[in-house]
Amino acid sequence: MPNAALKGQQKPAEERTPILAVENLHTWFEVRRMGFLKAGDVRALDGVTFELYEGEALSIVGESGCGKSTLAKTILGLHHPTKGKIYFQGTDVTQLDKEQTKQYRAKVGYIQQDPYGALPPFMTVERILREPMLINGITDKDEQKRRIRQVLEEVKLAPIEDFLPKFPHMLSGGQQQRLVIARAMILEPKLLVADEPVSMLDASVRVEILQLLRKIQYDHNLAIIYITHDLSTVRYFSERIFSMYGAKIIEKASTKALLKNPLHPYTKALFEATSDPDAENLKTFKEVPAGEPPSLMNPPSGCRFHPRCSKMIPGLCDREIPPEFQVTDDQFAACWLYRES
Amino acid sequence: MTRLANLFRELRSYPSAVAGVSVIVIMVIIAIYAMVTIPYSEAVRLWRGGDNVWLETPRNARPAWINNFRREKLPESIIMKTTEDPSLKTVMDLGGGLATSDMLFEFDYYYDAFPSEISMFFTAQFKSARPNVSIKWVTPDGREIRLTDLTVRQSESYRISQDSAVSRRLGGVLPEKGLFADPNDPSKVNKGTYQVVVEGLVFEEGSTLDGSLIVYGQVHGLAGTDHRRRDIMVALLWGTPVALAFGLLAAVGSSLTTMTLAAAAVWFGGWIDYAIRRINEIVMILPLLPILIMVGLFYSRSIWAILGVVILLSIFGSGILTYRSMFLQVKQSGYIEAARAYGASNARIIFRYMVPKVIPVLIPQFVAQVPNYVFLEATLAVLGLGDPVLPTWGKLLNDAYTSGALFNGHYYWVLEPAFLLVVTGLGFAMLGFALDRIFNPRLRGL
Repeated sequence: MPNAALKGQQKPAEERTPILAVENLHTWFEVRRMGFLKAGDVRALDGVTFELYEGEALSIVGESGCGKSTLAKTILGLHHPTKGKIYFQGTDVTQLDKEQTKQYRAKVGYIQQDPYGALPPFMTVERILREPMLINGITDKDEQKRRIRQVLEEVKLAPIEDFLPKFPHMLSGGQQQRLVIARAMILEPKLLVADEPVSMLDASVRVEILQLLRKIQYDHNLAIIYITHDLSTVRYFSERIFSMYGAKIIEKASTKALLKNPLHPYTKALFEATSDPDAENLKTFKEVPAGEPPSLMNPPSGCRFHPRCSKMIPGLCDREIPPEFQVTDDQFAACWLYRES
Repeated sequence: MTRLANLFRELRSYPSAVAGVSVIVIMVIIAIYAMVTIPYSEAVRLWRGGDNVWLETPRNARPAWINNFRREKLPESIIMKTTEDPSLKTVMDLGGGLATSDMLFEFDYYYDAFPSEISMFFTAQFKSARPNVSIKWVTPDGREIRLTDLTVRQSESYRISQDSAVSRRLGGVLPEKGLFADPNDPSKVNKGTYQVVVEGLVFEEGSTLDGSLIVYGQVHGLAGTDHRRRDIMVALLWGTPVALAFGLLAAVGSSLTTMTLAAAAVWFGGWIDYAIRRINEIVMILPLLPILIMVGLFYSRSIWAILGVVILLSIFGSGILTYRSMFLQVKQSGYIEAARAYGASNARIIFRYMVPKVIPVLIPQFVAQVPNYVFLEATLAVLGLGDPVLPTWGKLLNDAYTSGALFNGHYYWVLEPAFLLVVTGLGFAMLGFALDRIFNPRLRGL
């Protein structure tokens, strides 16, 4: 298990420098009626704050539509935030000009969910890997070859010469995702954003790809944001886990603490819903909250989870938005249940 | 490269594609051949040069191969020149600068029809005294018919067919008929060996006299000639590169621009998308042909000006909406998002990521579009708006139409360019349909 190898390296939080700091980030999408009348906003991100340290792997979990992907894309600069700041190595990247944005984007790698869709079907492997370099001014042929060789070796697409002239459709799903990782790594980024990198892959190659990502992360001291709805994979991966619900982060915790004892009722429910190949499951009853994810256009007042929450405190949860309470050293929850701590 | 090879392998399984490709390849070979053997300036000179260029070809002659399908053989032109065959000429010095320069043109005539014209051309070199010739016609049965006496300038032409004195002497029939007619049955040709005897006399030391006899036939070459003696082959040959270039450039120009515009509209969205769609709606209802006629009348009839206008007007149309809908889908692809994430510029995304994705759809449409533009060029030429200098298929049709080719029975004049137009259209259409099936597998069952 790669996790075991990492534990020795981990430094206390205060000694490490944050590579990415997100402050009160809002990304709203305007909805129009009849093409010009404003009908409201979809609040895909509604006040997200966190810090990510150099060489740290962070998982963000949550159900579909909770804003995980919007968070990833806003950090990548693919969506422009409505409000809030993103500091990357100390500079606010929401205020950059065109050239600076380009330089910023070169330092952040992006791994997508659907590897086949993420690769242009009309380009060869070599071309796909060369494109980011051409765009970012690495024109020296020898340097290009060196980097292509290096990243392909890193993602274990060998023999390299066999792969270079191939088109994406000639590769298997796992190979495609390795190529996507190779492309994300070719500009030697400091931060990788992986948006559900294994959810479209066969179960048999998932762990392989995750271990590969983990290995690359150690080798390059990379920071990784790993976004997933699949809780069974996070344990292989990260130091910290954030749980998202209704466009907000509702729980921040170290992996160990969260897996042992999830605090927020939603996180608990999320873990309950994880399918483990355990015969005992047949006899136990799992409590899964009823109802549907909240509308992000008209989010519920107070805690966004309160309409589905079994531990709802009337008069509080449905009125006041819960702030973040620190429950233990490495566990924070935005839930009124922990208001005492 | 392997994709291209695969494409060709797949094309081979469609007979229509093979036929279409062969037609196109042949057209391209003809076009290259025409441009190599007849350079542009030469083609323009041949087509625009007037009667001096085409002295030796008959007027409105049919193609020569027509004789293979006829019992009564039509005559081909007989050309005899003393400059090329000095044995036709006998020079005898009489002393004191005086010399005879006799010429004897002897030819066999076994055709079943009369020639279309007879002419003689003389060239002479002298200082002040012009040479003299007297010309005599000898029929196979030995009759001698005096034609004329001439004093020859440096260049002299004697058109026997237009000599009314000869016509009178033959009893009022046209000379080209009367001179060849059977004395017993004037409607038949008297077959045999004819002679034209020229008795020439030069009056100066060093003065020379040369002559030529041309009996114009009724058939000429592979394609025949038009009302100005021009070999139609020149226009058929040169029409090929013009038609191909016009068709391909118009198709490439308009479809690539259409696609780029559609991609830009989708990529930038907002008011750019709005503006492109509104402009498209306006231009879509503009009638192409009347605008082209106006451009031809008031601005320029140059084929390149017309090409420019055709491309400009064809950019807009339903195509832009079709591509737009495809690009809306492409815009959502993960690889476009990835390209943005690694910093690709707008132009790069449009040209390197969006357009290549749709090009496979474009190719069959584009190939099938080529004949439309070839026909459009011909249509304009038929309407009298063809390029003023270049010989093209459409101009042939226009010439044929204005000089009443069909009314006069000169079918070949209309059928030859029409055949080439149809074959070209067919070639591209067959290839286009086959490509459509290859690129759109759903059509394969049909």
